[in-house]
Amino acid sequence: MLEHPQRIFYGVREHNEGGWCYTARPAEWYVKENVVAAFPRNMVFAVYLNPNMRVYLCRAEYAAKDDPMCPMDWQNRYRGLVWKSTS
Amino acid sequence: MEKHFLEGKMEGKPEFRAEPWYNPYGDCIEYQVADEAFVAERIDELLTIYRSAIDNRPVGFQIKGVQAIIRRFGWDGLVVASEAGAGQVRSISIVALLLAAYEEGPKTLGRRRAYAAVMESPPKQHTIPADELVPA
Repeated sequence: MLEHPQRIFYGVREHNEGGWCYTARPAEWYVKENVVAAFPRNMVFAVYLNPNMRVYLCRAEYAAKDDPMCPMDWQNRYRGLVWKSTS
Repeated sequence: MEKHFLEGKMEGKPEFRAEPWYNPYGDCIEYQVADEAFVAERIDELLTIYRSAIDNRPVGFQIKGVQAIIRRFGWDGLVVASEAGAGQVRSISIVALLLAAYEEGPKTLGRRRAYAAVMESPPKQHTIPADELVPA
């Protein structure tokens, strides 16, 4: 995820300056222990880093309608989209 | 059994605990009742509900910006005191934090429903010791 992100957003919290969100869509994920399933088409996986570049959260989120590699409402949640994969 | 890709990088035995905990790197309180995949449903700047990826039922929540809530409302409205051994322990009430978070945003039906849903099934451990709420 962090090595091959599809999108990178800057500014993830209103009350904390900075922070980053990396997103991508894995082909599969664990839904329970030892149970692997296809990653849902309407979701995107997000990894959050704090301003010290420490990962503090990773989770699935509903994908935006206008760009399935972005979390829903990304235009209002983050300060900006700073990187977009072209591959 | 297939090895987890992080197995060589982690120490100790993985353990799931259905208890709220303070994440110092994200300044947030995390609570998950079931050890299964979930999708995050963002309610507002402060509350996110976790829904099961298997059947969509609520399986937890996240309260963000804990330090900002404490700064805004002060300890007095959020803390409950309890006796523990020889001394008194100051703990923060998760329900009080949720109420404070609700007051921060617009009074919409969607927010009211989401906050009510979270408060209808509060965690068994409903407080967190105040001395654990230290951001990293």
